[in-house]
Amino acid sequence: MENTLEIKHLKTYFHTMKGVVPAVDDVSITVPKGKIVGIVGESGCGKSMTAMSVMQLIRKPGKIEGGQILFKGEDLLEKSEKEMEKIRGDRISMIFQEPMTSLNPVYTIGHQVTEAILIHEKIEKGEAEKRAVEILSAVGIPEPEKRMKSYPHQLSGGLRQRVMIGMAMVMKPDLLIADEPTTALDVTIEAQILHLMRKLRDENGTSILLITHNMGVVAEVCDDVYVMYAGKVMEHTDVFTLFKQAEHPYTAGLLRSIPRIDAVKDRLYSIPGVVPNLLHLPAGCSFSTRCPYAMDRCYEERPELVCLEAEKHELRCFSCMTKFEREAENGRF
Amino acid sequence: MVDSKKVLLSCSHLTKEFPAEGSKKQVVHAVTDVSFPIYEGETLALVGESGCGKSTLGRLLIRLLPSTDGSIIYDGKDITKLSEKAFHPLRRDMQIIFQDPYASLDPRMNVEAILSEPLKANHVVSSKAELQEKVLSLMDMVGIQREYLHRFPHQFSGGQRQRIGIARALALEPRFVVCDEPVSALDVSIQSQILNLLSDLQKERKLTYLFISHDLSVVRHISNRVSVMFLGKLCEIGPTEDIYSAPKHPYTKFLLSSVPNPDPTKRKQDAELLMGEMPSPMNPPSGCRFRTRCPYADKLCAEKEPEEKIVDASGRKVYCHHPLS
Repeated sequence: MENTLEIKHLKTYFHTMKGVVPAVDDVSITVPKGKIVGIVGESGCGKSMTAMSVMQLIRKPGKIEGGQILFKGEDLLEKSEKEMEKIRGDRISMIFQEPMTSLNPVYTIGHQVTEAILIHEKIEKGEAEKRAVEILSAVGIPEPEKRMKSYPHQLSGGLRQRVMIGMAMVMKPDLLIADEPTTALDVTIEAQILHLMRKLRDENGTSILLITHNMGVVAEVCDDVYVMYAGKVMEHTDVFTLFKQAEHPYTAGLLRSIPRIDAVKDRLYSIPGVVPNLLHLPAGCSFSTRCPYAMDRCYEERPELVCLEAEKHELRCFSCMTKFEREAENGRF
Repeated sequence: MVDSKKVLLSCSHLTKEFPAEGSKKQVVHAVTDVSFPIYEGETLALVGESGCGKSTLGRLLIRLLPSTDGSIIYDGKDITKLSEKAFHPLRRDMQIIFQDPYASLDPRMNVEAILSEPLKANHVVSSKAELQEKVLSLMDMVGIQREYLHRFPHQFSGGQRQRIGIARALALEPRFVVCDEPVSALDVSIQSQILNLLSDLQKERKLTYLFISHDLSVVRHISNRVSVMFLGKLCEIGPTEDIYSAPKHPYTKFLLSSVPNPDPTKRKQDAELLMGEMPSPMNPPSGCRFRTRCPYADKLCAEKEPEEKIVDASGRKVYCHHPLS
């Protein structure tokens, strides 16, 4: 299968006064064509920085220190800023948690959508305006003719996010990067936006890299999932395996600690402790200080990401590997 | 669960209108004609989407905001009618935990100052030693290490800050606590720690919670009863399990079916999506406020406001002309 995006061994470090922060540390992520791939993790795990690195929107003191970002086979890290400008928005679109920041407050919605169409297609202005109304209506904006004359601040958060997705539909990008696109929205609106993203993928074949902290959102739309913790990928597998049989103690802990809409538990599991400071990471596995299964080795050595054989399931965990080896010896494999 | 059915606080026909910005004639109908009791020791959840008036209602109930109309009975007194002086002794009984632990703590005060303030202001301690002891015990209660006494809010993580916010709210040993989205700003792994803490404290201290949240999974976990609001009015109120297993108001049903389920084998069908936009609270629809988005709406819904209907033996109330069976 063709891959739209292949991030290989990406390292994005921040050089602060207090030391070097490895925000993204040797991260490899693949987004196959027409798939929705999720990156899930808590604040500060590096999920947004991974996305910003793809767009090359990392500002000082941050710097991409190594790795490759292959977009349809071409390394984006070798592109000039001018070439990147053409790729951003045209072939790779990005939507953010707060759509207000990505729309221009001094132009009407109609102006901005029409402009996007005119850049992309060689048609008359009147024709472009008609197309803009169609687009707004396609993303479920009520009274699209009226909304063309509205300014961004006159629209609700859900409507603004729809305008952003509408603009992404105009561009027909190969890749859409969505960074917490529904986090600021209500559940009924969230469901509509997720539906729109699936539609964008199904109708245009757009590949989507979805960044979220919400396991429900992951389960709802993703095909493949990467779980990140403290700048590293801890586990990667398809969405069904992840929810049925998460192996990494961090993933398993996260899944156990969320309250479920479909089941009642007396007491929630909680992962003890807090996320470590990236400036002072533990010497061994970055999750070792909070892990219920940590062994001596986990505190001393950093585990590598290992691919389980015959399955597309990657894991960074000594205790999981020990468990598999023992099972293999006992002939249970 | 709730042992007794003793009413701690009850509101009836509670209404709040704010003057609309830039217009003298128009008002924002934030809360309209809301009535319900809150029983001692229970957790009553208040759910609904942004702008439905749930935070306003929470603030009205503890008189952080004056109401426009209606009454709130607490301890046999209508607290909306009390003077500030007469209300003062009751203020200690009612506290609030805010959503944003970054904004709700004064950045210039250390933990000691934050937790001492309510104790000093209400003269509940008689000596410096007693004050110190009380502050340290509050820190123990919420799991903040004693050596952090002189730390400032920015030196704590979000979860720890929320713990300090909880300690401050409980410093005066209130009976009723409004928890306004207390875990919405926290990471998943921290969220469960705070929810467990709130449950433990409720059991230990026999607290009554009004738990305001837009997260329906959290609400199912923590509450005994749920009230659902839409555009300033109640849609449905009743025992949590009954409402989650069989919602009677069409809005409740849409709300519940919109929640993304952490199970990829149970993905949603598109037919369950609720379409349309929230009407303006300045100019709410006539009759039932949900009717412009409701697939079951008919002429009656536009003409007449739905009245309170008791639909089952548990005392569940639904405000709908055509409740679901």
